Amino acid sequence: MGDIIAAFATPPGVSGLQVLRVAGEGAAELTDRIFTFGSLPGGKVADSKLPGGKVAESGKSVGRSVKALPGYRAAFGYVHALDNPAEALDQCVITRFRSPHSYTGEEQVEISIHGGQALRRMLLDLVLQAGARPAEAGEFSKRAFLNGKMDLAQAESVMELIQADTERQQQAAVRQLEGATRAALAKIKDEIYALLSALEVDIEYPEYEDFTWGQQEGQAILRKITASLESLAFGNRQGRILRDGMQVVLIGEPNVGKSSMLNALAGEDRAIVTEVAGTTRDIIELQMDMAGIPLVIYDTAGIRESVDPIEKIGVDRTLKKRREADLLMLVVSAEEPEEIAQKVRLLLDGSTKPFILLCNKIDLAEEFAKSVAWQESVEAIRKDHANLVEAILVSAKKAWGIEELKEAITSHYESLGNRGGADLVLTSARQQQLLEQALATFRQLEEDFTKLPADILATGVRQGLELLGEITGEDVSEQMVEEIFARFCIGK
Amino acid sequence: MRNVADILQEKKYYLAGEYDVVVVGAGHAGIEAALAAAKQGFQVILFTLSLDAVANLPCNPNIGGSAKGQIVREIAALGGKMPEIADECGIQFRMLNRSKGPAVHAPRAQIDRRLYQIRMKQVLEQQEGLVLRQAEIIELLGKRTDDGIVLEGVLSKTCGVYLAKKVILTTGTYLDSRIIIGETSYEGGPDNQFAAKGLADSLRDFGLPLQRFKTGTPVRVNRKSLDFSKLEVQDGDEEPWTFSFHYDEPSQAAHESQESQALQVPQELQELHAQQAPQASQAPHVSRDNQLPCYVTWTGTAAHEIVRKNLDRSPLYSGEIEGVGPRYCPSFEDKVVKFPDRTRHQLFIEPTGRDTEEMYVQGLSSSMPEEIQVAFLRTIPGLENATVQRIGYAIEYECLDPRCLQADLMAKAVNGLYCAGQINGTSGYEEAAGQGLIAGINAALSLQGKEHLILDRSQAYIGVLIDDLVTKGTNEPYRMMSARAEYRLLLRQDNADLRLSEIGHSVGLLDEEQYQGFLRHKARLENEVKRLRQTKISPSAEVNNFLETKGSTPLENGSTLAEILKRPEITYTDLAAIDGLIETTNHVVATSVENEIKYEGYIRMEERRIAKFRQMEMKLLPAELDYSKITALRMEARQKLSSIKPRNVGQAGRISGVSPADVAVLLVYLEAHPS
Repeated sequence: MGDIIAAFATPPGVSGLQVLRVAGEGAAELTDRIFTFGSLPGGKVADSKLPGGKVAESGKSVGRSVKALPGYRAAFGYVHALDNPAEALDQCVITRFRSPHSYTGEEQVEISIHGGQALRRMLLDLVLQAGARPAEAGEFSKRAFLNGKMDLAQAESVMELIQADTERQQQAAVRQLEGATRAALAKIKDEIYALLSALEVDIEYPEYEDFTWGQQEGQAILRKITASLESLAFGNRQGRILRDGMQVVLIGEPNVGKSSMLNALAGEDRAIVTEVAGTTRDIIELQMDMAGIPLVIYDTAGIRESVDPIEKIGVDRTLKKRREADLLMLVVSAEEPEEIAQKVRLLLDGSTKPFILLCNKIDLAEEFAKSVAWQESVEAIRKDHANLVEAILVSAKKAWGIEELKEAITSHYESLGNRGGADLVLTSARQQQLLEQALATFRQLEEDFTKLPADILATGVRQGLELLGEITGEDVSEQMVEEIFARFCIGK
Repeated sequence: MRNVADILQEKKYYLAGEYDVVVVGAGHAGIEAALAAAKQGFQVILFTLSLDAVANLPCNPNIGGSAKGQIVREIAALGGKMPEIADECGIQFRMLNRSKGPAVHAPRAQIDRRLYQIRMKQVLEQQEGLVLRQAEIIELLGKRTDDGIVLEGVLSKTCGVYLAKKVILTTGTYLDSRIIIGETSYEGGPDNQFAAKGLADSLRDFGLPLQRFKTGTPVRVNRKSLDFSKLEVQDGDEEPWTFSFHYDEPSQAAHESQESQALQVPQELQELHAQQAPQASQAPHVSRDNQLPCYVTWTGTAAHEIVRKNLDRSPLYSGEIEGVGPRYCPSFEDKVVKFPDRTRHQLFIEPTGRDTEEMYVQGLSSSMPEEIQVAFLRTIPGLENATVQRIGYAIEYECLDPRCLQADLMAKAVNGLYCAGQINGTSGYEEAAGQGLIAGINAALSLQGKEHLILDRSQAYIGVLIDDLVTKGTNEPYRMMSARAEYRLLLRQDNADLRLSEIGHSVGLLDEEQYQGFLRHKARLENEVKRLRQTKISPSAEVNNFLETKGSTPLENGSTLAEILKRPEITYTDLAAIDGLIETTNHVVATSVENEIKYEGYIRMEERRIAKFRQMEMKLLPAELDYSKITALRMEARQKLSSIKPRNVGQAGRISGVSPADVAVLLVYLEAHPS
């Protein structure tokens, strides 16, 4: 597989559709890992969500591949988790371009999905996970040029474009790296340099006993570095929620009114962007823009023990969505007030994600709403679950409490920004990828630490450092030499 | 600038000779350069200020060490001389970093300095086509023409004019050098040699940029005056490794295949092995019985206090010394000032030869006044009564900004003028020898009208060294360190021949016998690696017993020898317990096979990085490219690119001040303007 780049060809913002472009040798093979022909899996599609109430067949795509698709041909299908067609993301249309008949002249695939920031983010993540890297500024144009797809007269303007784009990006990068986040990154790098120079100095001057590399000490430093990177990456991910929108997952037993809750939220809000049918019996996605906050709300299959294999798949997916969620909405019924606390425990199943508790069908239990019993059970739940954001009495049917719910979501979203550790350190996908890669590198080193000889360990640490260095664009080997001599007194 | 015709008008000058290659300076760089050119059949004259200072080791009496040891092995693989003579004159041998992974294993030897000089001098004297001559070269002769400067020859202090097609300058630390010891300073080179006067002015006249560097050396003491009861002994290795590559004789290769012990070795592999791999490879007849020890001691607060109290007398801190010194070998006063919290600094006391009592005190380099140096020496355990034989000093000298050179080490502005060694701003015998070899090879290749030799960063430490020098320059004496090499997992000491001996042979430095030995060795390694990968081991009681004694988990299913070797607790030679064909005596084979298999994953990863690196190295930039016309480049990049003239896009990207965006612009430009 060659150097595959990916970027959205459509600008971010509210739109019905968006197009991700993937280009480079192996782009089609890459797409095959995340795309399956046909409609979403799981037998029947929630028919009410498809125009004309059509029942679609589940994805029967055996033997078909994007790689084999002729050029300029579009195909209907869906994108899904890497190598796993059961984990559907969205219905989509892909268009295949064959080299040299594409924009860049290389193998190329364009993926058209529905609008929405969250979907945008997930699709890009998926493609990167499959082996692509985020395109640099002007890179599609550059490649198009390099592959002879532009005439010579365009050369000058392409070069100007690359230079201008890069400068703009750099300025943006510098701007966003101001302040605390920049300091945090610098501090981590400083720790890594200390570790690396200790390692290197022991390699360079092996006989100096005072500078012998201490393995235990080294492992402790490595652990600290990984932890710092984790917290930075976590803050960054929180920051991305602020920018790209929040993933909210509705969880509850069957028939507690989750779907009507979704409709109540959607129905009142005119700002619905798209409404997409998810896979049957599991996840219905609603993308909306609530008072300027981009939200993706998933209505999941009810959690209960099931013997029905299809329903079981739905439940598994619910559990997975719960792990990926930024905010959970737990729905319980006011008709069984004494079981609320126990239900919450079951639904959360140990999850520490922030959650809003919605006590639905309050129209059928008005007595309870006014009783101290509700207050008491909320207190009890709060005591057991520090991650409780808000507990609200609602009636999805009568639209009671919906405003309160929206307020709770909004204030939770805003609080993310105020809490420490929600800094949007890096806004460009490239930089985010670098940070995540660095984190993965150091996690791996920490795991393998005792098995690695010093040269390999140092090489690994250095690669991790290079990834972080790339975020700010510094030369590691130069810096390395400086560090060694700044820290140690050795030599003839 | 004077030319030959003009100068010969004057009566006092005479035509002293005509040579293909003139080499100025018979230090480690000059020697390799002269030998490389002479071995390729050219008439070479090698000048030295003093025939008694040929191949001098004026500072530390050792060769090799971290990264430097790799360079020595590379010189051996290319067919240079330093490794062979170092093997011959070594008095203590240590493989450093043994516990730290194969990439950084570093051979180092203490050298009998006097013997080394004598041996090397004789090698030079015996070389066909090479004249070794004592004379000071004071001027470069040439003409300015429309096509730039045409170099004609050199002039000696005693009025000899030497015509030359190529001149290689390897002047070390001698150019306008000055010795500084406290308040005393005088013109002079290392070890009380004369300084080289005039040549620096000539270089300026030729338009080459000079800078002033400083380095230093510690005190030498008499062994008989040391108190050994207070010193810790450091012995050499017993294992007889060598810097040079010694391959088995072809006759030795016919050996009797041992019975393979109930293991399923494929028949054809057994045969292959029998043909290619001798069981015992007593390659060099090397003895490690009679090595001399080094000693360790420490400075203490008393010595530090003496330094602090007398800093006003330190030329380093008084501003007397202008030259920029190397951070990697700071003087003792530097260490005391810069690291005030440290209560001790480690010292190594090293022998300088078998026939002398003079010992080198590594770690005590100083330019403090003699009185002060003696005073702090008195406080050091074991050295309290040491008799000083030579006092430590600092030396300042002129050298080039190496960015004025091409990667083949020829000056961009002066066709035919090559420079190598400390004149290029480096430090160290090994760095010098490596450059000298490349300069000599390239001067000769150029005379033959052949393409020059440039080693890239993925091929050799020598490649990293030269690329750093000509691309980034250096603002202090440049020492090679393994941290400077991006691909060090592949730039190992054990595989230097696999990396470079083809090249050494193609430029005519490796003789046929050595080359055939290399080919046999290479085939043997490849076969052994293949054999380990293919030899299946079943989980027998014998095998599992062996694994348990090594603290390794027993096998449950069949495995290959290679898979077992990948376990961290198992070494290649351990496998002899379960496999009869393991080479237990040839440590070079053992090391190389082990590295190839154990670190396979990392090596493949490194190879992928190298493939990426090479892509950019292959995009050549024409020398005549006018960067000022590429307006999309930033102004700084245009200036830097114009002055450095990188030969490819990869090198362009390594120039400080050239951004990734500039590189992208260059790529687009190259596509748009195919040459």
